[in-house]
Amino acid sequence: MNGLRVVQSGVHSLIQDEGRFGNHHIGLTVGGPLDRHSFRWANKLCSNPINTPVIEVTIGGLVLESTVDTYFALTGALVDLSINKVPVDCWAVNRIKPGDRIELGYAKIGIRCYLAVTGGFDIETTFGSCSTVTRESVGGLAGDGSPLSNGDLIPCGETLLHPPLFTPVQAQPQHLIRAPESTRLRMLLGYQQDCFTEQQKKQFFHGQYRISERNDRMGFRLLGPEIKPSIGGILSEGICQGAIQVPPDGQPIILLNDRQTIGGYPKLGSVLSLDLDKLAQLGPDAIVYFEEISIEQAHNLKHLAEITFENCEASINLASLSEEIETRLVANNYRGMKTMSSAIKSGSYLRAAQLIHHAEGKILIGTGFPVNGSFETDGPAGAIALYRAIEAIGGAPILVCEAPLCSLLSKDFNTHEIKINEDGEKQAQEALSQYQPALVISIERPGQSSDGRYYNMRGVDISEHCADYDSFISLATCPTIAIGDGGNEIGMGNITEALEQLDIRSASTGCDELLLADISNWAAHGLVALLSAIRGQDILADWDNKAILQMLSEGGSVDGVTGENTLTEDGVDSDVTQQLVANLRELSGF
Amino acid sequence: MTNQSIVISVAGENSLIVYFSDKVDAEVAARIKTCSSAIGLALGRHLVDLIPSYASILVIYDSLLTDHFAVSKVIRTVAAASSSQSNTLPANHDGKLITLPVYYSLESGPDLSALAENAGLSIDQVIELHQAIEYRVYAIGFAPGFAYLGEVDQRIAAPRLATPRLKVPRGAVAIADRQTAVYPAQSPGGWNLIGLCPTPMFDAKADPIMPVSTGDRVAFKAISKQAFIDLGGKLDALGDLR
Repeated sequence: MNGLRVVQSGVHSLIQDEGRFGNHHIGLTVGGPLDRHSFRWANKLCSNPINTPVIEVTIGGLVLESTVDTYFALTGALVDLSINKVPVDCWAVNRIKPGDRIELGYAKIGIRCYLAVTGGFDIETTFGSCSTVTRESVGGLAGDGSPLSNGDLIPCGETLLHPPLFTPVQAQPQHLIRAPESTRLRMLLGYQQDCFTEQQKKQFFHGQYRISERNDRMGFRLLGPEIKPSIGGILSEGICQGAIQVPPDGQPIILLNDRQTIGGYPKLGSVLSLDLDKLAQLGPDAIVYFEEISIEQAHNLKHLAEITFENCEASINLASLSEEIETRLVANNYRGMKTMSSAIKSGSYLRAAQLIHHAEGKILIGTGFPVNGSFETDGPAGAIALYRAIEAIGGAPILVCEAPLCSLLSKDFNTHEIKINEDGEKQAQEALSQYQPALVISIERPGQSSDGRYYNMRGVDISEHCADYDSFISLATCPTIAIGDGGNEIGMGNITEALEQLDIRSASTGCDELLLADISNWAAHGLVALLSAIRGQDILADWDNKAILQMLSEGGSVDGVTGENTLTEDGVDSDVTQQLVANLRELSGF
Repeated sequence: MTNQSIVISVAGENSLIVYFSDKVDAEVAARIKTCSSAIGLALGRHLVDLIPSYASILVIYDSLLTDHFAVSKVIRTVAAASSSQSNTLPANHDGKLITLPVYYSLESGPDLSALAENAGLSIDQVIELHQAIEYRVYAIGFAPGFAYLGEVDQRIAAPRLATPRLKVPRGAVAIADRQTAVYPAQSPGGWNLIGLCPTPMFDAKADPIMPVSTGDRVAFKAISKQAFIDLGGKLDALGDLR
């Protein structure tokens, strides 16, 4: 069994889902999160259904160690949160790997935190819920109402992919940010309100109440102006969430999730659930006051809050998304690019995507790696992906390559042919002045080595088959992006020193943004994923990798690694790339 | 004949409380039982939860699907139907009768002698009077499965203990004022303990979870210590009692 191991259970940590419903008639209370707003956001950030179990951490101090590769989000009270002692954000999704240690400090603003993992915890339910109600000995890990304790393993599955989401600031509870002097609790008069005189109600609504030390999941006892109803007790009756009960001492108690289902003290009414979320984040000595609203207002407020929550999408943290993509795309380290990635400033994909996003005008995309009179599948497919993406966002792309690739692509795309054995600088200068591009991109183009020659991965001089696209990059007055996967491509001049570690005749042509990947085509898809996230536009949806490879294959392409005319890229099956595209699409939030 | 009119009050943003009476009454209990099921059926997925009690029903609805106007209307319709029915049907028709065996003794009922002494009755008389009445389940609450039964004979009514016990054993049969109950699980409690019942009052794995529900009728029947043990009763938890 895998999941999160409880190293330190903290002050009070409970498993909670939405609560236990439909069992009040046998005396079972609701349970569930005291701050439902934060609970729902924790699950929303993790892309979970709203009723997914989370850990409610009161005060803090929880330390967990993961045995799985997954994501988690912590919402609610603000605490110092770290993974392996490295601080990370609350109200955001964070990645954890086996062996990682999540540590929560103690609540600085607010009282209760909610920790959700993508895919949720796998816990058996009692009476339809795993919410822990200690008083009733139901729910929790073992179903017996026990809080989490040191050594417990909270089972959860491995997750596939998850976009690095974070919550828009406006969705975070305001009181967590402002920590006001007193908190307004809107309430509806009801129940035995007629047993309280007008004078008493005035006192109640004009008074300020202090939260006493006696506050827990059952209820919050308040201290303030006494209000005594004309009756001391009533026939025991059902108590709803947020009911304001007034015992004979005249000090109100707000009854919460773990309340007894029935009781015999008079009640003045009930607090609006939206304000109970705020109350749940207040500790002893915090001041609250009451404001009367009608049931119709309560109904409207509830609906507005629901619609706001539904429509308020978690935003993607673009910097984290870029880092995630940069890590993933070199994970296989086929040709040492994972090793090289440390030489590049993190965020390269995001910066490159923003160059595309902001480019106003034509965008040149050079591609094509010549192999024995033909061309590789790696490069053109990615170039097409970029071409289509740029078109999709309203840009004007032009593919730049030599024959025979150019004649194949010119059927379906705007192309510009470059020729072998021409004066490269002149050819580039003419094209640049003709198109006046806003951006020049190179994907898997052989780059000139320091001796001005072109070499393949095995160090064989292929100069007589290569046209000069290097000059497009070096002479361009606009920004340039270059993509490579081996070290001999245009752009690698940016990391010349690092490339000395690899057994390769490296290219010396540099660029503004160099992107690395295990296969260059993958980098194009990664770049499109970021562009999708920036634009909020699902651009990867229609990518059919096999169809593109089929088209290239019919034009005589070969696999750059095997030299065969197959539907593969650098020896990798088309389906692998298709799956990667699906994953990238999901990461970009679609 | 009880007053058939009901009063509906707002309880909270998604709850209405329906008052059927202002006093404890077997007929009211029977009507509440009928109405609870009928309201549940009528509201369907709009219902979140429902708490029947002595003289009221708390109806919790999904305020994203419906509102207090619609729910009030349903409640009034159901209540009107139930009052016309109860005119034609014999009383007690709907509450099923459950007989709970009790091992009454000084061993299993540590407060039996004090209760008898204060009441000026013999222990046997107390036991006799406790069995003499068919009780109603007026409410379930306090703890899961804790059924409030009423009302005991005025002669054996007894106030709660001045100092509640920290541990009352599961199955303890107890009296507080004019109410009696069987503790469904070990818990703290201040009621007067007069015996032990071997029947589980709350079992999450059983179907039904509880042998009784609100509005049902309950009778107690004395059994011997041997019968108590044969029925699965356990005496070990009594060691902690004084």
